[in-house]
This record gives sequence, structure tokens and C-alpha cells, in this order.
Amino acid sequence: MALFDSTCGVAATMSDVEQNLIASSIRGDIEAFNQLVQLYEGRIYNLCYRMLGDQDTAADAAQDAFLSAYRNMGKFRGGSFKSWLFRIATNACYDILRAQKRRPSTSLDAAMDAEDSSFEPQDQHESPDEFALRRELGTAIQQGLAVLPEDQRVVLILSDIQGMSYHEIAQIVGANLGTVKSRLSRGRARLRDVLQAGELLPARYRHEDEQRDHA
Amino acid sequence: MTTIPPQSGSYPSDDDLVLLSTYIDGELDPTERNRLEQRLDSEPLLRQELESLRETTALLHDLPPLTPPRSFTLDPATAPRRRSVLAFWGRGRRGVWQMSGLAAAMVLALWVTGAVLLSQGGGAQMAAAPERSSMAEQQADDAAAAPAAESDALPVPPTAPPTAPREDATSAAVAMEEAAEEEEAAEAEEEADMADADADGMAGAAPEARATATSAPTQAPDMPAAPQMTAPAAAEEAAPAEAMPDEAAAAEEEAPAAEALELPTETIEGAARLEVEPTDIAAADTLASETEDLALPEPSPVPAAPDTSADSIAWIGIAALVVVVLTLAAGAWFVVRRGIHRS
Repeated sequence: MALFDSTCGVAATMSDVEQNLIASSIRGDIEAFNQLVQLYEGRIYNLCYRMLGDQDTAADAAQDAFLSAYRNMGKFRGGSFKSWLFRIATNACYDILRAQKRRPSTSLDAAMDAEDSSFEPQDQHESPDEFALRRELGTAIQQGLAVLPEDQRVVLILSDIQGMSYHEIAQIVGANLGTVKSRLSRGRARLRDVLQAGELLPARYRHEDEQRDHA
Repeated sequence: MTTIPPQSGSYPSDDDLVLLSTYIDGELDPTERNRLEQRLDSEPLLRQELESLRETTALLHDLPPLTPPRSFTLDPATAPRRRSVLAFWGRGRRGVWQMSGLAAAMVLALWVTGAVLLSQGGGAQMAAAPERSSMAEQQADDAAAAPAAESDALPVPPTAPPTAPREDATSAAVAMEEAAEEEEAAEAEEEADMADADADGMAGAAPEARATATSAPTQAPDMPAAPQMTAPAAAEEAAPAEAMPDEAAAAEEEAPAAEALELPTETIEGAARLEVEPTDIAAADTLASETEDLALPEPSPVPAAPDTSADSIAWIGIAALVVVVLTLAAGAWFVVRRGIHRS
């Protein structure tokens, strides 16, 4: 028994606190589940926002994801809770994207036109110009992401914005490592092409690119 | 991997793109990495490709995290309730639903058993069985309607060691009910629930063997050992001992459920532990209805196979009925519980 415990302790990637919260949530303890929500809501919302490009829609998707997770806690069979939760959130985003395609009125253009309204306010060390530039850059990247195919977009977000490993991403999107690498490489190349060719990037960034190319 | 001649304006192949991208993440194995670095030294366009991909990655990486516009915590008042398990006799609408579901299961079980006895038995039994079954049906209804009915026949003194497996089942169930009520033994809940179902199943198996397998009384002594078995083993043991298909189905239904929960063998240890714990009499009242049913077959637990008087056959029949009812009730409880978890 002691041996079993010690091996579990080494293998466990989640903290004991989180494990306890998960166990309580499975038994229907909503307060415990809400603590899990607070642990993950920032990252889940960011995933949804980058997938959907709109603050309200992203909030809806995140809420759907947590509700669905709570309903299905009984089906959680161990492993990485984070991956399980992100998978649910990814599916919630896909559901919304599918619904948007059925109703073309809220099309990609609307998302493209949207300002990055949830951008962090300017901090004290930043001049108005710098803040404007940063905001412009954020909007450009968001619009670039919106152009990507969804399977590339989600892998790119999970890897380069959320900082997840190939292994985690493979778990979340339900694909093998080779597929993850392939989608990620195509997503990066495509986003780079869009940002450069579409002149979505602020001038200063494009200028720096050219300088570096000539160096 | 063939080296692509660097041509102006052409992108690297998909394979090269994957190599570069994986290289950026530091995920290439040493052999691949060395080979790629040699090529990067000699292919400026490939190097340029690498740099631009790296920049794109950095842009994404530097994006500041966004703050959610609101919290996504669930409101306990409106969220779908998945309250757990043993609030079985309990409170509120769900308790009522469970009770009525249980009552329906009991009535159905009695009806089926009556029919089976009818088709098996001789003349005297044919007359007796339906009568008894309707009587027992009445009992089941009463039990369902008044779960808190008093029972003086409760044969479980607080310190007495458990002897009959059926009593074990009851005391285990009572102990678990307590645990659930106080919501302190959180892990114990799952175990308790399982152990309860197992105990019910095993309790059902033992007298059933006596009642139906009268020509093979050697099976009866095996049964008290059942609590030490693992859940699937117990279910398997129970299934062949029974002649009735309904019973077998119920037992089989329990076995996969036990496995699905992926419970360790501690489950059974937990059951055994709970059995020897002194039983709270006050809590036992909640299970009085079950005890009432149980008290009935007590007078005739003897195999008494050769003596086939109509009276003893009728008693055995009743014992069999009660056992079937209890087993099916445990099964129904299980199904209802799992269903609630899913919904």
C-alpha cells in the first residue's frame, strides 16, 4: 500500500488539493467544482476567445464548457483533468462555430471587424502609442487566427498561446503526435503568411521583419 | 528526406515545415536535430523560413492573457443537481421517485416469481403461490408506503456479531446510511453503496440456494463465506446457484456495475468492517420495512427437502419471493442511482 501511494505521488501531475476537489466534484459537490472553475476559467476563456474572436461568444462557450464538465464529472476516468476540461471546452467552441456556419449572418467578417475589446488596459509604463500598437497587434493576430482552419487554429492556440506540450495537445484534440506536429507547423506557416501578406501587422513590426531579413 | 534545392519564393516541403516547427519547440530527437542544423548552415532560405516561423510563434507567445468578463462558477441554486447516492429513503422529490421506482420493481418481481412458482409447482403449490404472492405484494406496497414502520422483530442487537448474511446486509446498509447522512466519510460513500448492493446480492444468494437447490444442500454452507469474496466473484457465485432467470440477470447486472466503478478490493473489506460495527437502532428504523420482509422467512431456513408438505413448500416459496424482491430492489436501487448520476 505504501509502495502504491509513493508511486502515485511521483506520477501525479495534479496537486493533492486539485485531486480532492475533483473527487468531491464527482460526488456532486458543486462548491468543490466551483473551485476547479476558478482554477481554470482564465485559461478556458482565453482558449474560447482565441477560437471564436468575440468576447460574449467566448464567455458563452466557456460557460457551456464548465456546465458540461459538471454534468459529466461522473464520466471523468482519471488522467489529466486539465486535458479533459480543455477537450470539453474545445468541443464547446466547435459547437458554436458550427452554429455560426448555419447562420451566416454572424459570419467570419463580423469577428474580423471586431476590435479586441477585452484587451488589457494600458499600464503605467506604457505610452499611449505603445498601447495602441500593442492593441493593433493583438487585433491583427486575432484576425489572422480567424482565417486558419479550425483544426490548425486550436492546435496553434494550445501550443503557442497556452504553452501546452505536444502530448497534452494530442490528448485534447484526440489526435496522434504526428498529426499535432503537422497541424501546428501548417498553422504557424499559414498565420505567418496571413500576417505578412495581408498587412495585418502594424507597420513597425513589418518594418522590423524586413530589416531582419536583410541583415 | 531529400534536400530541396533552395529556390527563391518556394516554400519548404510539408516535411521540412514539420521539422522546422518541431525544432522550434525543441522536440526533435538528437539525430534529426543535427541533420537539420547542418542543412540550416548551408540553406539560407531554410534558415529564413525558420526565423519567420519563430517570430510568428513569439508573437503568439507574447499575447497578454485576457481577463474573463465574468466568473463562470456555477450557481448552486440553478445548476443541475447531482447529489450523491445514499439519500435513498430521503428527502424531497427524488426520494419519492426512488421509493415509487422501488415499489414498482418489487411488485414486478413478485408477479414474475409467482408466475415461475406456478409453472414449477404441484397442485397445492399452484394454489398457494399466487395467494402468497399477492399477500407479499401487499406487504411490498405497505413497505413502500411506510418506510418508517416499526418493527419489533428486528434481530440486530447493537453488540451481537452478525450471523445471518441477510442481517449483515441490513446492518451494512444502516451503517452506510449513517455515513451518508453525516457526509463525513466521503470516500466511504461509494464503497458503502457498492458494499450494500453486494451484501444484498449475497444475502439473496444464500437462502435462494436453500430454497431452490434442495437436493444439493452442500451449497448452503458455502454461502456464509461469500462476504470475503470480491464483488464479481460473489456475483458469479450467486448466478449459477439460482434457477430463476430474473435473478441471474439481476446478479449479472450488478457485476459489471461493480467493475465499471473500478473499485479496489477494499470495497469488500469495507463491507466486512461495516458489518461488525454496532448498529444504530434509531437508524435501523428507517430500514424497518426491509427488516419486516426479512423477518418473515426466518422460521423456516431449514432445507427440509424430503418433507414436501404443502405448508413448508409455501414457506420456502415465500422465502424465495422475499429474497428475489430484495435482490431486485438492490439492483433497481443501483440502476436508479447510476441514472441520477448521468442525468
